[in-house]
Amino acid sequence: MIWWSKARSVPAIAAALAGTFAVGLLIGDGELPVPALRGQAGHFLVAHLVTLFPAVYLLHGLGRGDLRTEAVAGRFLRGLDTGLALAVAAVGALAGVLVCAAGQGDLALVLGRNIAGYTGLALLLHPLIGHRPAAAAVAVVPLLCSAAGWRRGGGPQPWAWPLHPGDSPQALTLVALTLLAGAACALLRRRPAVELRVLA
Amino acid sequence: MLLRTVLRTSAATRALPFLVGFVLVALGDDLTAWVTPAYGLSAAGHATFALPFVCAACAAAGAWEAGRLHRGRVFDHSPVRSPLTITAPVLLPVAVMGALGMAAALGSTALAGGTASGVPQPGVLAVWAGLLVANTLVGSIVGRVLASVLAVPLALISSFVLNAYPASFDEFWLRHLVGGGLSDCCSVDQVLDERAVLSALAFSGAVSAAAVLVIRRRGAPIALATGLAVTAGGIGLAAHLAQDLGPTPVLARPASALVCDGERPRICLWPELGGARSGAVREEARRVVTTLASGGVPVPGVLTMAAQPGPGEAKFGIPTTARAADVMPGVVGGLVPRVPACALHGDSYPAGVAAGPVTAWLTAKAAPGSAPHPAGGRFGEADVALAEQVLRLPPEAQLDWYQRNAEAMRRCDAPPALTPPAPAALADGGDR
Repeated sequence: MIWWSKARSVPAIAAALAGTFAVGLLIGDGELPVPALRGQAGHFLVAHLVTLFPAVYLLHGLGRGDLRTEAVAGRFLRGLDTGLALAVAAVGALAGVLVCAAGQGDLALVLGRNIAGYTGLALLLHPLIGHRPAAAAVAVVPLLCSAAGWRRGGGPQPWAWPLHPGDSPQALTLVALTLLAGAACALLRRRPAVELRVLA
Repeated sequence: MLLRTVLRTSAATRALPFLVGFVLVALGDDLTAWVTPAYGLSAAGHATFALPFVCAACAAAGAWEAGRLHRGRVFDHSPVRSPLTITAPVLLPVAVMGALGMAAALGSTALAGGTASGVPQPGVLAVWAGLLVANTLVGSIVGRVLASVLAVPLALISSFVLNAYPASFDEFWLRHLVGGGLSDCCSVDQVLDERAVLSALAFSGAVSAAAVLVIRRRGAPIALATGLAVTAGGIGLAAHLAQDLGPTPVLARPASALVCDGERPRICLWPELGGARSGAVREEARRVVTTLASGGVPVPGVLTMAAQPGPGEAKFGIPTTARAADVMPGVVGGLVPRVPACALHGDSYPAGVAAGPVTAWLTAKAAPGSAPHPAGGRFGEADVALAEQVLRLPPEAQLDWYQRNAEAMRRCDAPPALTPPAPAALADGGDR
């Protein structure tokens, strides 16, 4: 368990989580002007971007083991990994709710939800394409949302959950589904499906 | 390494279809929304909207490729070739991927503009090339330093922020370092200000030179210090070049590019209208001017599409896709005095309310026999009603009303005299 914690660099993940929350609360409502260039009423916030980092650090930790070796290990390491990811998501979401309840407003909810959502995506993609491509793919999500996630009228597209306001039930459902699918995928898939030779 | 092998194994080759699809599908609408039809420079400028995204892709792919060299411990095995000779071929496909991504953006804006001539603008292409290379090189340094599972997202996100964020600052020189002003360039009477191009080239050139030095010397402290100094120097030079630029780096297009024809009125059009369209526009404009002149409205001898008409010239505001129906509003718009500089600076402008009635009256004069229809943004129902009152006056009184209001509209301190004198009062000494 101690070795597992060292291999997954759990302290680094915790630090990334705390750092993301601090940065998000301090400058999270800073606006990136990209979607607004064309007069669309969208707001692309720093909070939509920085919440990636706990998920990226999680993938960094997950990538330090070998999926195939760990599949036959004595301990149920995939279960521990999935538990770690769900704990990251839960701590992020819980901190969001608590900070919001303490009067910091909607932004904290957005931070918590997006941390949980990106963690779910990381969990889902890691067994499918490997940890390095998964990190790149998760990082593409906010860029995709910033470019195509706004409707003409100004609101976010239904699928663009990182852009939704904190109390949007649609985004919460999507994030919960992503987490569920990610947990299922991480528990059931024992080795990377796509063995990209050059990427390994 | 064989070029074939480099191309086959590069992450850029795998990312290219996604990048091109992203540019065409996700950015397509934003890219093509405001392209000036038939003007190549506008297509080139608006394609720059895709640049932050493509730069981010280049930085991430550069980080990935450098991460592969790092993981392969290529530099720990006492290589014979210099680090630069090893790194450059690996980064070449990444730069090519960026170039193809921007080519996709340029293709879609050129299609939207409906022209191919003048689309490959050397200045704009140079800015793109400089920034793509700079992002690729800096991304590869990030990939050499950090574990690539962290480096790729970090390079992607920070490159995107650094390329897109400067456009939101009020310090305008910042956006010109990363070509942020190009995507608003240009309407047909504007050309690109070369200082913005030079500024972006100075910045990206300095960053690229610093990155090459750091790669070549494998991050030796002296190389790092020199690299920082070169980057700072580049930022200084770029800021100096761009210090007088506004948010959009454009200049008025030289009037020598206008194609002028005829006398009284002499009609000057941009060549982008094309021969057949120009002929039809000239014919219709002459007809409108003759109608106005026969109604007693004084028309300047020159109608020009130039951004700033000279003295004795009237602005002829028509789009490059003008049809016969656009000509009359264009001629009429040129006869309404332009908003003076004092009003643009925020002084009170009491004569501003005269624009609607004067435009409605000129429209009625240009098309006698048909009541002017309220046209969105130019004049409304009330303006038409007022213009119809004026039209019931004798011709001299109408002309007097027009000239008094036009004179007031050229200044900030003169109130308009919109209410026409009652026809009865004028008629007292007349017909009866």
